[in-house]
Amino acid sequence: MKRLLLALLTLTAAIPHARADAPQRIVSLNQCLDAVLVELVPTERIAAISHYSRDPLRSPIAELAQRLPITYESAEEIVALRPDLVLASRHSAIPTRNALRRVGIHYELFDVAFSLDESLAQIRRIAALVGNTAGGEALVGRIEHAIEAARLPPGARRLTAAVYSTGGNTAGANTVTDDLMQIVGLDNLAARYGIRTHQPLQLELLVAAPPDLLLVGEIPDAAGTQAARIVQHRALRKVPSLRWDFPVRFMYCSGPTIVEEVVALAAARDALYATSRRQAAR
Amino acid sequence: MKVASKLCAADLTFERGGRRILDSIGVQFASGQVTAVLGPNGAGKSTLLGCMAGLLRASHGTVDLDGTPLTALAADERARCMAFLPQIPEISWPVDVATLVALGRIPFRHRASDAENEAAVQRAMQATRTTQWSQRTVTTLSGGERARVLLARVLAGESNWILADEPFAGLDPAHQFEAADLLRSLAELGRGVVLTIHDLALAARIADRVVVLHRGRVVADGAPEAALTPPTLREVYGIDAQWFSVRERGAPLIAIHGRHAG
Amino acid sequence: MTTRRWIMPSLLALVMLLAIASIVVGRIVLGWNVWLDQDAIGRTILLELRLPRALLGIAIGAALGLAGAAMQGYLRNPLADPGTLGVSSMAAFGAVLSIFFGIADLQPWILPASGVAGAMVGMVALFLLAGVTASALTLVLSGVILSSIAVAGIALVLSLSPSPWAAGEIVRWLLGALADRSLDDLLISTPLIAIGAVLILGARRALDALTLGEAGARSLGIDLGRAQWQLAGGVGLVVGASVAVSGIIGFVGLVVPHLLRPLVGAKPSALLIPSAVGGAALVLAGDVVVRLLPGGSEVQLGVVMSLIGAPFFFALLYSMRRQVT
Repeated sequence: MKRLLLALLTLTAAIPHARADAPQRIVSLNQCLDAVLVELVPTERIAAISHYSRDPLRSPIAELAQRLPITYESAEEIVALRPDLVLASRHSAIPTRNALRRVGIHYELFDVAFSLDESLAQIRRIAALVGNTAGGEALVGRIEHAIEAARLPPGARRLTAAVYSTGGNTAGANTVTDDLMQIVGLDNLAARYGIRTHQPLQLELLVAAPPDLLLVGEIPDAAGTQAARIVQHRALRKVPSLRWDFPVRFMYCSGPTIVEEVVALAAARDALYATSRRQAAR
Repeated sequence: MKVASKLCAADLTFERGGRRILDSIGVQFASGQVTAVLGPNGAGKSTLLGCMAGLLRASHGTVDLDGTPLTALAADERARCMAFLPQIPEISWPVDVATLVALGRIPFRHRASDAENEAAVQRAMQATRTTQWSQRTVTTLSGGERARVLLARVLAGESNWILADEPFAGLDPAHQFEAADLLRSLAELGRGVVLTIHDLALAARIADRVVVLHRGRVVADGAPEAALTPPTLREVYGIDAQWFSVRERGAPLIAIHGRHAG
Repeated sequence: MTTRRWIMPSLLALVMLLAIASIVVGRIVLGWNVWLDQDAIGRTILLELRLPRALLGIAIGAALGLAGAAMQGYLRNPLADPGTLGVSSMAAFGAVLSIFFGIADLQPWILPASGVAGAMVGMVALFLLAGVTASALTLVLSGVILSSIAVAGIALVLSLSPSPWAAGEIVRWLLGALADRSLDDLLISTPLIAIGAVLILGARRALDALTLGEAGARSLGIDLGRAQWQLAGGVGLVVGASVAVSGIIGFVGLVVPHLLRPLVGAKPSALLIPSAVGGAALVLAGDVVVRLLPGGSEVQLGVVMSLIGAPFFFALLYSMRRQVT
């Protein structure tokens, strides 16, 4: 009997449960924070997420967001929701934050994650704030598992790669994408040229030293036309790199998106290996 | 009856851009008469008038009003004593005539009541016969009509001295005489009127006294017939001219024959 | 002429109506029982969000309308506007720098104070560039120089932004808005606007005298040098305080004096206060429109003002061409 009781107690301790003082009305003002939030709390505890989460172009949770309440990040809406926790990005409108502070609504501020470690730390921080540390660890675990699956096999050849997205923007040295590329075995051309964060990559550099792999920002078919291909510059047609679709939303958020992103990077790398093996066989 | 007033320049020199526009000019203007400042283009007429009105700062010398240097007077006080009509008629906004004439009362805004200001404006418009345009927008008037309105603005100040730079330019002959008669009547009331004119014949008709400038210096100063002698006119203007009397009409006329040959 | 007497009461009534509309309109519907104890949320929204926003709309609209009428009166040019002296760009630059260096969100007053500091630096720089005895032309050229420097500085800040989101935050602030402004913003801007307004109104005789040109004005006893710096200081304060709080809201200072000139008369001093009231009405109207436009997020107020400004210039051009032919 004592052993059964002990087993039951251990079991209940292992089940992640919301503590009584955990926030019940959570408002998130940023689509990247939204993506983490929906993984960590049941939808009843979400008072609203950002309206940007419904954008299929940029949001990783566009479909789910259609079923959740949203705000347009104005102070009025937030106040009317009577939240007990607000998650906001450092780049949210300062007057809105001042207004929240003035009426006594507490908010937690999150910077843009510039590295994989920062992204995972943010997940743990959100998990702690919402009272679901176990869920946070589980999510981190899933992400790390996906990363490990995509890690460059020992002895495999490293490749060069560059991201070329809307507006010619690339993922530079201190970005989550760069960290993932390093792990997957892709050396980031942009980092070699000293580009940091998300800045434009000059076409000249691509043409002069074409990477093995060109990760091209692509608008999903949901947006409609084939003509929506971003990379239209004539000079780019001559670049002999292998092209791979790299959805624009990978550049916007990290967190849970990392799983999909790292799978895509590994698939691109493996496709290039396959292509070079075929070429060598001829 | 106004008290006699004197506006004097002593050793007045004005330099700009390396050029000496006025060269040690000494001249006295008296109230109760119309004085015309004459001279060819570039002689310095407008510059002299500007210095006498306290609007231009001379490089050297002084301008005194009844013994007090103009620079010692507050701008407001000077504006109450002297009204100035600029050569180029500027009207920046399409205001109505009454408003424009009332601008002449700005120096009196703290000194006179609204009723007094309004009365002065009415008197000025009556004297220039512009009352009928009181509510019309100034920009709808012709050039000559505007000139009369601007003159009314000057008169509204009811100041002791009126300094006008080319007040007859752009007026047709009838209106020129009308304005001239108006200025004469003011002088007869004891005010001091100093004008610059380039029209010699008109100057000869209306001025009690003329001052002729040539290359920044005073070359003649006196009654028209005495100052505008044929030799002076030949030297200053390069023209041949002659005085003659038209007995029935009174004042002598000057007739200009043409350019001086040689 | 009697119609002119009804202009001010009509404008004031319009401002009152629009202020009420500004308080009533919004995403959250406030019921009539907002004053009862039950609706604490409604009261909070009303007193902390809607009311400061409406009051700020009045203050900033009045500031911009007044500054526009003053600039047009002084430069004798109906195309002059409050930004001509470059002080509004410098205020924006100061505010943007505080966002860029990450100090803007430490305390609520830091962002507007940085904007005001930028405006002050702009006014000193204007004084140094133009010189004490500057003519109107020199003053305007100096304003153009300041504006260019400030705009270049803002572009540099945007290009040095650590991420597209940081740049986006700055751009959104620049586009001008009254959304979510609070009593703190009102308390910082209104005293400065009041002081600036007093300076501008104090120079109204000079503006009238300038109808006759500079020589005519000086002959009427006006000290043009003093009037110029009094007006520059007044406009700088008024515009700087506005931009520091709301970002750049254009066209108000340009459009309102134009619209009122045929109604109130072209005498510059008579145009000052009606332009202030008209400016308040225009900004309040724009701020109501941004909340009524379809599509979720509020459109930035500066954008709505530009949408008003463009047709205005079209109408102006059209009427000018008709006059010529």
